[in-house]
Amino acid sequence: MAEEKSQASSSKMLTLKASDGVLFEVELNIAKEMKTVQAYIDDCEDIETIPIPNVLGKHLAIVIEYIKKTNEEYDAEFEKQWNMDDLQLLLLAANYLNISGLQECLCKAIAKRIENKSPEYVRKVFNIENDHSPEEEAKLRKEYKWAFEGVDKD
Amino acid sequence: MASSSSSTPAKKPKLKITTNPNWLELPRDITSNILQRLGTVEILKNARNVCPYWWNICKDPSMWRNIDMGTVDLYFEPAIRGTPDLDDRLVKMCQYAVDLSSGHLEKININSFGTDALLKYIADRASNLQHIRLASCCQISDEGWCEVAKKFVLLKEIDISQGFQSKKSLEVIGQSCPLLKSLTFNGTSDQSLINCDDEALIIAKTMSGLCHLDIHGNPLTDVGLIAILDGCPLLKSLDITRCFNLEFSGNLWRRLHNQIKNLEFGLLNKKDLEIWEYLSESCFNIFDSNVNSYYEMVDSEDEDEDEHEDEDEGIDDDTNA
Repeated sequence: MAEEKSQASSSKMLTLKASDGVLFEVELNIAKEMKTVQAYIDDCEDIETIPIPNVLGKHLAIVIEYIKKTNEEYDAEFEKQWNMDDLQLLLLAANYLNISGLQECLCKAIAKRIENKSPEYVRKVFNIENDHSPEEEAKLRKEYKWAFEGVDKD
Repeated sequence: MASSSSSTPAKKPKLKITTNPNWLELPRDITSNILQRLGTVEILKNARNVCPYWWNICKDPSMWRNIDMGTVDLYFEPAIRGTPDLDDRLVKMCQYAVDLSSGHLEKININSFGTDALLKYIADRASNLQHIRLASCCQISDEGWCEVAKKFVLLKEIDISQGFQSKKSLEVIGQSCPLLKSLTFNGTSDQSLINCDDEALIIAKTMSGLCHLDIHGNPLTDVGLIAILDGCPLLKSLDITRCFNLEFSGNLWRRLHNQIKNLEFGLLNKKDLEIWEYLSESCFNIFDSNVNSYYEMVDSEDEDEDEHEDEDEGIDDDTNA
């Protein structure tokens, strides 16, 4: 049984079900790029529909597209079309599905967007609240004075 | 946008009440992956000051396996670039980052502000260091290396370009670093064209594991180069740009062609590229001819004499009579 399956693997189709119920039919070799899915298939040989409970349909579509098209050129342009919110959700998806290439591509893109930007800018963009108390903040500023100079005041 | 209440323990990430995804919910190792790409100065100046949670992640030794301070002056105001004050700050930052690594440091890249004292500081705290780059560090001396080399036994890659190291440093490095695979040692203070194989011979004798060697500008002769090819049988990548004392006599070109997969020799003129391509494509029997230099070799085989009348143009060495 196992040998038959591997011979037909290139044409076998699987269904992935996103958290919002959207279904995607993908070839087995595409699904295998998602190591989490691969492990699932290895454990449950006859499965046809695989639930992906933490990824929305719209992001799963993007992930599948990435796997199909990834190359140096594609990766370089890939991240430009997404806003920070989508990038974060895509990164969480890539992490959950264990797709290392996509994860690296996204981490690189996000790092690029916060390069040489002030902490205030980063907080705004990432929706992070700075919960240092004013006293803590003052103490940090004093102790590491050299750290707070010469940055874009974005 | 409403924010949640203020008094929470410093390390717990606080959630803003918003429908937008929360970046603080990212797994720690992913956040670490992103922040590490920012480079050492960026992390210390900006990233870790965003919130206590990121501050905490930036204290993790796993964030500090690679310290990259290779192009640092971008981060500082023009007024202080190029001043001793900046160098002091950079040294302090570097020491701070080395402390954070807690012995896990594997790779470090420093441009120009390195000193003997900093080198010692690193050596005393980073016994696992495998890659070191100290570019244009004029304040690092042979004595500095002599004192610390024996602590860097795991070094695989050393780049001390544009520095003032002499054969003394090479000797002590060769003796102390048995795992060395890559050496960049060029732009020495002595740029004279006087033949000198001292450095080449030390490399040949003590660095038998080398796979990559960049010695551009070195005053070595054919003797030194042959010694290196003999002494470093694993050598696959070699940069001998501006090594003007090389004559490539006898079958030295053949040896280079056979052994070296990636050769940089700095095209002095278009002629050199033609020669290399010609030699690479031609049959090996041309190497049996009894000639004194590679220029003669090409001349004797090539039918197109006209193009080569002015082959001496732009060549600085004294190969051609």
